[in-house]
Amino acid sequence: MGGEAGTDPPDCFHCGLPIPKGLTLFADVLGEARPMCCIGCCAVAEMLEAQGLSEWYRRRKGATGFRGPFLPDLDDQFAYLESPALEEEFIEHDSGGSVHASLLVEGLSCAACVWIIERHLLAREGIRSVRTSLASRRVQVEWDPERIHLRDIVLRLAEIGFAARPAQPGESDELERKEDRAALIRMGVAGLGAMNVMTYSVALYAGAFDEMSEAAVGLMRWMGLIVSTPVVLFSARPFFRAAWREIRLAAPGMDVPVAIAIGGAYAVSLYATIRGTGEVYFDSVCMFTFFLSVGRYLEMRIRHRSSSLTRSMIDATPAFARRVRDDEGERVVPAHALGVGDRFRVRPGESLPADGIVLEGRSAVEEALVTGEPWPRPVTVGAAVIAGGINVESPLLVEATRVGERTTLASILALIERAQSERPKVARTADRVAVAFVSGVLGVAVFNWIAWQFIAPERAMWTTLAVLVATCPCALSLATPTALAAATHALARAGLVITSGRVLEGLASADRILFDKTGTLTRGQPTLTRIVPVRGHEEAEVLALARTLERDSEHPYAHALRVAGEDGVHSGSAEVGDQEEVASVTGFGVEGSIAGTRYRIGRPEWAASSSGEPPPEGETADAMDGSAAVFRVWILLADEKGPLAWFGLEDPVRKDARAALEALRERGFRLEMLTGDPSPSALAIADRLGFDVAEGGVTPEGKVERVRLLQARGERVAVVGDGVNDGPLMRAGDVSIAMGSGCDLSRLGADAVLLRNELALIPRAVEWSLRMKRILAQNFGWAIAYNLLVLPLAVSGQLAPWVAALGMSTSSLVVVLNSLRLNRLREAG
Amino acid sequence: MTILLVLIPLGIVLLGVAIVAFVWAVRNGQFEDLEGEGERILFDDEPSLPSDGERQASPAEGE
Repeated sequence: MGGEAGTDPPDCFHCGLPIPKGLTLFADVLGEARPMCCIGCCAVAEMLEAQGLSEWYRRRKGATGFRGPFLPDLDDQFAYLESPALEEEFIEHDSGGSVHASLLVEGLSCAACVWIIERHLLAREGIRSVRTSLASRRVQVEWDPERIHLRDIVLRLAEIGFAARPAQPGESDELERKEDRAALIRMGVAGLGAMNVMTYSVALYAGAFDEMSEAAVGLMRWMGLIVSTPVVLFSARPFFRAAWREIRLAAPGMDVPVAIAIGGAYAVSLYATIRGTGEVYFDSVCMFTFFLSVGRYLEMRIRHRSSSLTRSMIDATPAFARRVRDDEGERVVPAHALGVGDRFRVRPGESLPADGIVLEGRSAVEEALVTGEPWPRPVTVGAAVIAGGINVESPLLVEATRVGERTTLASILALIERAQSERPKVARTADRVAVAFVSGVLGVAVFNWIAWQFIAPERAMWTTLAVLVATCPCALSLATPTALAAATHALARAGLVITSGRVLEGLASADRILFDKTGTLTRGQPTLTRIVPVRGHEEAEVLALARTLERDSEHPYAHALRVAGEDGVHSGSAEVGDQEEVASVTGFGVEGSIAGTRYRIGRPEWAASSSGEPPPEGETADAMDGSAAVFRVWILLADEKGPLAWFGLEDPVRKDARAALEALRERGFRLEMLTGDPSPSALAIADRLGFDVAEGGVTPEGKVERVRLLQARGERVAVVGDGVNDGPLMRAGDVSIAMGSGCDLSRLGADAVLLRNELALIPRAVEWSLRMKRILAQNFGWAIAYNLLVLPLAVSGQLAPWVAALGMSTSSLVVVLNSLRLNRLREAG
Repeated sequence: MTILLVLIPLGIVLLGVAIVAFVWAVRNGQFEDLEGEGERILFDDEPSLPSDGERQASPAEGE
């Protein structure tokens, strides 16, 4: 025991979670003994190997993040699936005598998971078909109800380590899918149409130089009309609708000139085709529509991605509840059947379907989803619990106080969704540019028409149209979405998922970056590395006392102590007796009595207020050696007579922290660390990591205040945190980035999530944000310059349709290709 | 040049076919998961070892 923490211990080969200290458990996978973190993971890995499915480990892109199930428990846990009420709700009957249901699967993260799920399910007799959707984490299973039951299917998924439960097809999911498909079809039709019309147009343009027979010209024009009609009526419909809305609201945006150009060009070309005079612009019409649809499609994809992140939270509340009524006893009902005042039971391992107050039972509830605290919180009769929390220990009877859309979780999600639906500022800037542009264009067009009335009235209509076509803000409206999409995509591949456009525009202009310590700069999992007993006590004895005191505490330190006691190294340190009147004092520690003696464990100056004894060896400041920095904290166990033992807890700094901070400083950001940890070692290490400002012992509210203060001073503040208590901070910062391992809700509040916890991606994101700004400026500059350039030609009546078509597509292509440069993951100079 | 009178309408018909095929593909969900399907082909499609001891050779017998 004791000694220094070694290099990073290996994580569980199956689930990727850290292996409890001292545990040695291995499973033979792919011809090698792999470390496992628990019996569940071990069982899953061995079963996959036995079935010849261990190939999965090689194909998958990341670990599941879910501990394997402990199989004997499962059978009982899934018994609820046999309730008839649930069956009615979730199982649909098909015509052929089979039934199907949709299951929500957690831990489904890559194509390899899809593969193994489908393999494993189809191997079971009675299952007819399996369809997995990676994006929505849902598996659609069709089976023969005579031979197997829904419960068997869920059990079967549990065997290979995936937690599944029946899911209702989400309404917004369905809506988004429809929207996505419709947009894709519109884009496809416009694209195919544009390609075909172009062939006719090229013939016409060639014919304009060569002599071409009247009949052939007529044929080409009619063909163009036939092809472009569905493009205008079907593919371009959203633009007309949006333009109409903008006109009605008297808030003209980009859609008005787009609709005028498409509609005007089409109408004039139609007239020209029927009358056999003038010019046709069918090619321009189709290409406008195609390019614009591409831009809109990209915008929509970004929006959908962020809302699907929110929706995965909604999935956290269960779809069923065990309602308890005096007349009918306990019955499994769909969660939405639960009303305020209903009582429901929650078994260990299940999550709560509604907010409520505990009526019966004593247990612990894990509410990481909302509070960010990863350790369960003890609850007893009268305690308030929230929907989405997981009951960990023993059954609870709860009276519902808020259900459905009213629960804490649902209302927070609603807030976030609203924030997400706001368009990013870059898009709004583009809109402002558009408004100025629209008024300019319309002004020029009207002026042009009036002027030509005096010069040559018969050409007024044609030149006006040429003006409208030439100035259609096609390239302008592609500028933002393509750049945003390309940058987002490039960073997502690197491991930074961006949920809001704010990140890319705000990161580069931030003045100061605030870091949280625990979980962000460090791994956030302190481990017990030293025990220094005083007054001749035994290690095992003091650890047993400490564990007993900390048994119900949710603090990470308490967890480290408990874990240390569970492994083999500190054997003989089982909990001693019962603690009585335990009280935890926030920010200081825990106090309680065991077998009549009062103990305190926590901050040294608090635990033994009488003794001013320093921690052993004065190790606070030199815990850092080279780059393997370690935050060490000493906590003290004391009784009424004085100190009993020191416990040294270590939380190593992430390996890439130093380099990342260095890179950010070079870019001119001021770096600041705020931590709730009051120990001097935290500040000493912050100093060595090169922070400009570091402050310890800051409460979550204090952090938010700090951000507000800086903002009031006119600074723009970016925030990086892991979300344990950082939720409000995330919302306060101008830009926020959350660690992927942080709590779910902070990830939602954040504008971006570091999937693999690589801090090195932050300087990279800054780089991208700068590049995107440059490229956006180029795009806008180019698009506007092009429009201004052709305007005189159009006004003077010199703009032939082929010049307009060529110029328009070239300028749009330049914008798209320029944006695509962001997609390349090269370190830019 | 009269051949154009045949070829161009034929082109329109082909365009119609292409659009119908595209719409079918989108409605069929073929554009929903662009990554997974691409990788699926890399996986061994041979049924691996029988996973359940009791599994018999009659998985697809309909009703």
